[in-house]
Amino acid sequence: MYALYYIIFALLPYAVVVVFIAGIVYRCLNWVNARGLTGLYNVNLGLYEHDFFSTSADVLKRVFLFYTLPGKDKDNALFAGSFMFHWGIWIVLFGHLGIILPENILSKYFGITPAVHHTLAIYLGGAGGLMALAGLLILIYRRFAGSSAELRIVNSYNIKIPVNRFSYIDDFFADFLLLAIIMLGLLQTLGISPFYPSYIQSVSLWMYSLLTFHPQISYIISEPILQAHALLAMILVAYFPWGKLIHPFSYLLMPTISRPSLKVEYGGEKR
Amino acid sequence: MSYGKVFKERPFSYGDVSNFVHYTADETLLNSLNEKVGIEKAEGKVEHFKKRLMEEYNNNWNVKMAIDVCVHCGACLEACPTYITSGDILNSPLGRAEMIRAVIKGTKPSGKIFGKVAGAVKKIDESYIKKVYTYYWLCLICRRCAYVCPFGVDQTDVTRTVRSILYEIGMASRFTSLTIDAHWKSGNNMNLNPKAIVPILDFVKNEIKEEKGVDVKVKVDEKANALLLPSSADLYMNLETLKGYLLFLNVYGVDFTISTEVTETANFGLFLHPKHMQGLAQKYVSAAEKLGVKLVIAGECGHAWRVHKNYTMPELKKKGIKLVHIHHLVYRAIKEGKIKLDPSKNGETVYTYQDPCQYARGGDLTEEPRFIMNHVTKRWVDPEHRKEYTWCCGGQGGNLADEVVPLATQYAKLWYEEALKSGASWVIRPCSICKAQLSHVVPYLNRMYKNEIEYSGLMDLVYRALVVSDG
Repeated sequence: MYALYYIIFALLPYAVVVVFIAGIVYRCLNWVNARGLTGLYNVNLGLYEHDFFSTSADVLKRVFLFYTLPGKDKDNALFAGSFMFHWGIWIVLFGHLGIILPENILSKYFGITPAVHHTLAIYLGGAGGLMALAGLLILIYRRFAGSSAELRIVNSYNIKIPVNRFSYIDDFFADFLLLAIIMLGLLQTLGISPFYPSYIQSVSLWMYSLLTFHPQISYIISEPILQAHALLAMILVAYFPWGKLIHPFSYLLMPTISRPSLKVEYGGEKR
Repeated sequence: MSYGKVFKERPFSYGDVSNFVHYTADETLLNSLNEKVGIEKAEGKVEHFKKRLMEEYNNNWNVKMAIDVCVHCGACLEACPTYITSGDILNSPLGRAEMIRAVIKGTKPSGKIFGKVAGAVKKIDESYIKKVYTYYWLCLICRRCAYVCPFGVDQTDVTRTVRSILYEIGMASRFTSLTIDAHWKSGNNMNLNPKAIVPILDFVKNEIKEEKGVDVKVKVDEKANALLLPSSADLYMNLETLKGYLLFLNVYGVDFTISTEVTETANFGLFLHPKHMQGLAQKYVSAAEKLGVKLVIAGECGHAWRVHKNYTMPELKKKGIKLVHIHHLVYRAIKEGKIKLDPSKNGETVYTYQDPCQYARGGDLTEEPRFIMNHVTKRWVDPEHRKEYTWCCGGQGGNLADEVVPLATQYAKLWYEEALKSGASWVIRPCSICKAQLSHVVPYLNRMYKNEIEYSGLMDLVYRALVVSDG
């Protein structure tokens, strides 16, 4: 039994990281190696985006503000769900950086005492997790029930958005995997205090042992919820490059938004 | 022209537009087209379709990412004019994409294992391909879905790719094929030959003389500094636009010529096959070289501008020749104070400027026309859905075909209502396809909405507003 635990929580994390990095590199190379652009030299979509500064600004707006999604004639459930889920996840992921390092290192080098760390984890991490959960539930609801939007110009156009008709096993797999991970993570985070004040320290020591290539599973051997959370997270990370979850990396390479447009030159002006 | 017959034979029914199948080109026409670009008709439709689909998927960066990245969020559905107005889910970016994504998924391990549960289709037949043909030719290629997609997935480039494969197996829209065939043979979409082009230009020159009191000089097939590419429809239907080009270029002092080998700015190859698009674009490059010009001036046409900017321009650059849009020159002339404009000549009419799709989504041509509008009209309004959010005229992507007019009329409701909402009575759409589409559908829409909307290009307004000094 211990051997199995050792494989899963001491060796598998390294394999998962290798699959994650190699997978992303493979997918990205695969995209850019398909060099053609359907007969054109450029397929940019934006307006007057002549340099990487302007395309980067557009990409950042898409990533952080989801600016093409909200609007009075849009399905704002998609915007709300996406915005809450992604921002919640980013907060939570940022918070996870805090458990890679043990308390003494955090305290010594970053001035974050265990008490501060606990407070941040519960309130900020908890809020991030709840936000991600709420966003994901909205998105999952859309997947099952579909959605709609109303466009009003002179007449009204009721636009049905049957997401359910075009949702497949890979979409549901990713959604429910994330749901389980978030719920297990929240269960731990919101249960830190007052029930289990030393929880963060035990997780951190395990993570730090992995980081320093001296894996010690003894720190988490009696943490079943964490084990479930970590195992599902590893499945997610390993699956990440091979399905739709790869989409964050697409922003860097999508030729319609990440490449500057061609400039038209006339009389000293470039438009 | 009345489309009463087609409205009767092909009634529009919200939710199912599968009756609007584009007529297909016959074998003689396809053979003629194939010869131009060295394509041999494929044997075994289904197998060729699958094989070429995988090749195009693996060879085109934009197509591969569009297929791979979509998360099925449905944002494109609320952006697509074809879906909004038809309510047929297959007539939508997602509907079209999934027909093709299913075939590609069928070749992958997940698709082989999970089949339909993973959205894969393992076997396709000719009826499946016919369904693909029906809905892929109803796409307007307007790119509105691509802009709204959070990841910039451009389904319209998938549409173009799939159409090119369909063409290779002998399934191409007759209207688009005929247009391209005319372009190859006569150098323009309208099949005008030099014997017709020269008298038309003379007629227009006379009209300008009568209306503006000025003799304009127009070189035809002579060497000059610049080559003007009007739309052939400008010599046929949009004479006011043509007058705008000729008068403006004369007043601005541009030494320009028109080539009877390429009296066209359009390039319907964009809608059919990249080889046709590139082949036709090379005709422009050859004509420019032959006439020794340093500058090529593109006339008003949206899809043409996409090809010019993203293919013809880099090709011309290799020869040391520049390419601009006519609006760039007007913009510069106004800024430099080289032309005088009197907005009152365009009256008290309230105009609205509606961006042609390909000027606004990747075309970098939204500010210059607005700058010009400010100088040639007394009153104009910008619509709520403008620039990247502009509505397609409803006739792009080969949908000027007579047999789909009842559906294209539905597509056109969006921009028409936008004009009504903005309180304008005159729509400016500086695009040849827009103007052709409007000539089809505006009579029906005016009747439907009990209104009287008029339309024209932007150079028409420039023509009227241009103040010509004595003689």
